[in-house]
Amino acid sequence: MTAPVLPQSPFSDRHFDRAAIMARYPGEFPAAGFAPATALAALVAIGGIVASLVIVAGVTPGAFGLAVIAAGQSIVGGLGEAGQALAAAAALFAGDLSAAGGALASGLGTLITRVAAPLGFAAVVPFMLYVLFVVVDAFRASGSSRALTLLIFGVLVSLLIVGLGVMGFSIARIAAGMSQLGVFAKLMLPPDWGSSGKLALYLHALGETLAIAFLGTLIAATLAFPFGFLAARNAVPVWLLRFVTRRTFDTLRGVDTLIWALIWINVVGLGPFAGVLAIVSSDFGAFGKLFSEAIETADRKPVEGVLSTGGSRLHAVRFGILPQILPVILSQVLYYFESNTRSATIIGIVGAGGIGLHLSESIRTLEWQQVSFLVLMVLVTVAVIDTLSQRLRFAIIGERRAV
Amino acid sequence: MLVIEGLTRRFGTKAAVDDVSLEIPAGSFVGVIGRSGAGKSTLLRLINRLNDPTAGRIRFGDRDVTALGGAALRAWRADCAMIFQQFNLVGRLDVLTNVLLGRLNKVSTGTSVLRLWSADDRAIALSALDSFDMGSFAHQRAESLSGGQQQRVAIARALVQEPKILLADEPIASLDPRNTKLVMDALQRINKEFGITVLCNLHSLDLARAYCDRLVGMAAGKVVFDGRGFDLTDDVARRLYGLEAGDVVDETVPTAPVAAREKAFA
Amino acid sequence: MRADTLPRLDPTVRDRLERGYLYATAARRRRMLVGFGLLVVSILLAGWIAEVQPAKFFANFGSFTKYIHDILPVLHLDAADTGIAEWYWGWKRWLRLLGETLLIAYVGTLVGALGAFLLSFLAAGNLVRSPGLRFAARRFLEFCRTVPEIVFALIFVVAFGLGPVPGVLAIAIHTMGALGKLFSEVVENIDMKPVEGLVSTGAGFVETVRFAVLPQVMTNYASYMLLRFEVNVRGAAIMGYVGAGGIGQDLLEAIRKFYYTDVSAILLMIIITVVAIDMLTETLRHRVLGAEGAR
Ligand SMILES: Nc1ncnc2c1ncn2[C@@H]1O[C@H](COP(=O)(O)OP(=O)(O)O)[C@@H](O)[C@H]1O
Ligand SMILES: [Mg+2]
Repeated sequence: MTAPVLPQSPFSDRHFDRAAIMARYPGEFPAAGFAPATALAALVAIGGIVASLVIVAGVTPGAFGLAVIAAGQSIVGGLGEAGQALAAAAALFAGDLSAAGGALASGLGTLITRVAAPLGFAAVVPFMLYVLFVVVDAFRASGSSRALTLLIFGVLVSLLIVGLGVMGFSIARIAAGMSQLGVFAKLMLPPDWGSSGKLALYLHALGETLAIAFLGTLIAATLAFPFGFLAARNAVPVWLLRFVTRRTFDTLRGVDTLIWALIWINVVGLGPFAGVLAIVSSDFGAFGKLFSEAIETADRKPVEGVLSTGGSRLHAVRFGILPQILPVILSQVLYYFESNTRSATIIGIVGAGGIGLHLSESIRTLEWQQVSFLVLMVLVTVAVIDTLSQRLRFAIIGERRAV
Repeated sequence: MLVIEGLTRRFGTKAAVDDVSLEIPAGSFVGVIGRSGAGKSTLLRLINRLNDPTAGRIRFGDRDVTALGGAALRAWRADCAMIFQQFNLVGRLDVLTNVLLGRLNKVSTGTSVLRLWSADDRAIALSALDSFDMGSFAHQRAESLSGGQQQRVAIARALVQEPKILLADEPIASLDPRNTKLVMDALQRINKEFGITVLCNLHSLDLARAYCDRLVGMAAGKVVFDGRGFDLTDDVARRLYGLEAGDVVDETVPTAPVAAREKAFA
Repeated sequence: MRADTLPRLDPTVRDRLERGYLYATAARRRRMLVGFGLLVVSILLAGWIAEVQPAKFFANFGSFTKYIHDILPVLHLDAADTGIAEWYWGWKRWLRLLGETLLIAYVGTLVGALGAFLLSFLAAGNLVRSPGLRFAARRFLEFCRTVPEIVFALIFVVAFGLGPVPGVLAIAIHTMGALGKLFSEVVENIDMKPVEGLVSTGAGFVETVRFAVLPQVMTNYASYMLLRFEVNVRGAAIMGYVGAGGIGQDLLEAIRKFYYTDVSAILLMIIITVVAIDMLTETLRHRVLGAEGAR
C-alpha cells in the first residue's frame, strides 16, 4: 500500500496551467475587460440617473452635501437628546414607573425618528438599488454583455427618481410623516370601540359589508356566466359578438368599484344596495373575462365526444365543457368573495354601505383607538372568510389552486 | 482523516443511520454499498451537514464537524464537495456559471451575486470543464445537456471547490454504461492525481469492487461489512442485499432501474 | 327491431344495481341539498341586511339610463371638432393628473415589489428554517394586503399631508403584501435539488437564493409584477378620492357636482388608459413567459 497522499488543490501551479486555458478559450477573457457596448450603456444609465436627480429633485453636489450635513446634525443631536431622555428614564425607574415609561418612550421615539430613520434611509436606498440591479441582471443570459441590463436599470431608476421628485417626495417629509405615524401607532393602543352603542353600529356595518360582498359576488358570477360563453372562441364562433362582449368586459373592469358606487348612489340612493350594485358592475367584467378564458382553455376532446354521438352545440357545451370549467369557476368565485370582502370595506367611504363609513369617519376625527378596532375587525373577518372559503374549495373540488 | 463516532440519525422513530462508526484515512477511495433504504444517502448528507445528526460526532482533522455553524459550517461544506444522483445543477443557468458556483465560498457575496467573477475563477472553472471534455459546452444551459454531461459538470463544480474530501451519492445511478465508466474514471482520477478522499455510494457490487480500495456495507442504517473488495464473499453480499441463498448476486442487484424506483428519498 | 339491439337486464338485477347507485350517490345528493338550502337562506339574509330593493332598482333604472345619457356629450357631426374641444376642455390638467396616476402606480408597484421580493424568501417554508421568522414575515404580509390601500391612504394623508406621497406609500404597502404572498408561493413550488446543490458547496443564504432560487422564479415574479401594475393603475385612479393624488379627485368632483360631460370625459380617459396598460402588460407577460419556454 502506498503512503496516503495529502490532498492537493487541483488548481495549484502543479496541475493548473492558466495561460494554456486562457489561450484555449480566448472568448471568456476579453482583453483588459473593456466592452464598448457595456461601457456606453453604463455611461448612459449613470448619466440618466444623475440627470434626473439634478433636473427633477434639484439635487446638486452642494445640496447633497447640505443634506448630508443636516442628516449628520440630526443624528448627533438625536443621540444626545435620546441619551438624556433615557438617562432620565433610568433615574425615574426606581420611583415613578409611569413617568419612567414615558421618558423611555420619548427617548426611543427620538432615537427612531432622528437617528435610525436617516441612517436607515441612507442604507436602504443604495441597498434597494443594488437588489434592483441584481434582479434586472438575473434576466441576462449568462455570457451576454451587460449593456441591456444597465440600460433597463438606468431607465427604471431614472423614472423612479423623476416620479419621486415630481410627486413631492423628500427625506424631510418622509421623516416627519414617519414620526407622525409613530405617534398615531401609540395612540391606537389599545383598540377600543368607544361606546356600546357604537359597537352595535360597527357590528351591523360589518354585517352589511359581508352581505354586500356575498351578494355582489354571487350576482356578478351568475350574470357573467352566460356572457363568458359569448366571449369564448370555442363556444360561440361569432367574431363580432366576441369582440363586443370582450370590450364590454374591459370597460366595466376598467372602472373601479368605488367609482361604480358613486354612480349607483345617484340611482338607488345612499346605502348598501348601491354597494352591491357597484360590486356587481365591476366584477361582472372581471368574471366575464376569467370565465371566458377558462372556457377557452377547456379540453376539446369531451366536446368532440359529445358531438360524435349526435349531440347539438348546446349539448356539447352542457356536457363537454361545463363539467370541466365548473370547478375552476367555483374556485374563482370563492377567491373573489374573499377579495370582495376587502373591496366592500372601502365602498362605505363614499356612503355605499358597510364598515368603510365608520373607518373613514374615525380617521377623520382622529379617534385612533376606534380606527385600530375597526381595522382589527376587518382583519379577523377576512381571515375567517379566507379559511372558510379555502375549506369550501377543498371540500367541493379537492386540493386545487385558485387560478 | 475523517472520523465518525456513533453517528445516528432518526426520521421519526425510524433510524436511517444507526450508530455508525468509521475511520476514513486521507486519500482513500471508499465505496458505500447496500440496498436502497439502507441509509447510504443519509450518511453522506450527514457528513456534508445537509442533515443534522440525532446523535454522534464527525471529526475531520481537529475540526468537530457536528458542532460547526454559520461561516465555519459553510467552509466545511466547501471542503467537502458533494455529487448527487440527480446532479442538482441549476438547470436555467449555463454550464460555466454552474461550475463557478463551486467557488462561491471563496469570493465575496456582494460581487458574486452580480456575477462579477474574476478571470482567475473563470480560468479555474474552464480548466475543470476542459479536463472532462466539457469546455465547449460552457455557454449551454445546464438543463439542455444529457445526464452524463450534467454529471460531469457537477463533478467539475465539486472540483473547483478545491475539496479535501469528495462525497458522491450514487453518481452513476441515472447514467448509461458508457457515461458510468466516464464518471467513475473521473472520480478515480481525482482520487489518485490529487489525493482527494472519495466516499462513493454505489449500487453495483462489480463497480464497487473494481474502483474502491475499501468497501463499507450498510443494512438498515448499520455498518455490516467493512473491508476490501475481495473480502466481500457472496454470502456477505447476499445478506447485504437481503437475498435468498442461491440467488446470483450481481444479476439481482441491477443498477439503474432500482435506483429510479428508490428516488423518493435519494 | 330496434329494441332488440339494446341489452335487457333481468329486473331483479336491475333493481339491485339501481339501488346500489342511488345508495352510493345519496350522501352526495343530501349534501348538495343542504348546501343549496344554506345558500338560499344566506341570499335572503344578505338581501335583507344589504337593503336590496329590486323594485326600487327597476323603478329607478330609468334614472341610470338618464344618467348615462346625461354624462355623454352632445356631439354633432358637422361640428365634431369644436364639440370634442368643448367636451375635453380640461384635457391639459386631466392629462397631467393621468400622468401622475401612472407615476403613483409605477413607483408604488416598484417599491412594493422590491419589498415583496425581499420578504418572499423569508416567508417561504422551504427556505427558512426558523418558524418564528417565517411566521413574522407571513403575518406582516397578511396585514399589508388585508388592510385596503385606500384605508392606508386615509391614514397616510393625515400623517404625510395631501398629495401623491401618501398614495404611493399606500399602494406600495398593499402591493408588498399582495405580491409577497404570491411570490412566496412561487418559491415554495420550486425544484429543491439546485438549492441542495448550492448549499452543499458552502454557499450562504443570499447566494443560494440568487443562484438556485432566482433563476427558477424570476419569470413568474415579473409576470405577477406586471399584473399588479395594471391593478395598481386602477387603484391609483381612485386615490384622489381621499386626497392622495392622481385623477380621482377631479372625477369625484365631477360626479359629486354633476359636471356631467366631465364625468364621461375623465372616465373615458381612465378606461382607455387601463385597457391600454392591460394590453401592454399582457404582451410583455407573454414575451417574458414565452422567452422562458423558448430557451
Ligand atoms: N427526509 C427524510 N424523511 C423521512 N425519512 C427519510 C428521509 N430521508 C431518508 N429517510 C428514510 O431513511 C432511510 C434511509 O434512506 P437513504 O439514506 O436515502 O437510503 P439509501 O440512500 O441507502 O437508499 C429510508 O428508509 C428512508 O425512507
Ligand atoms: Mg440514496
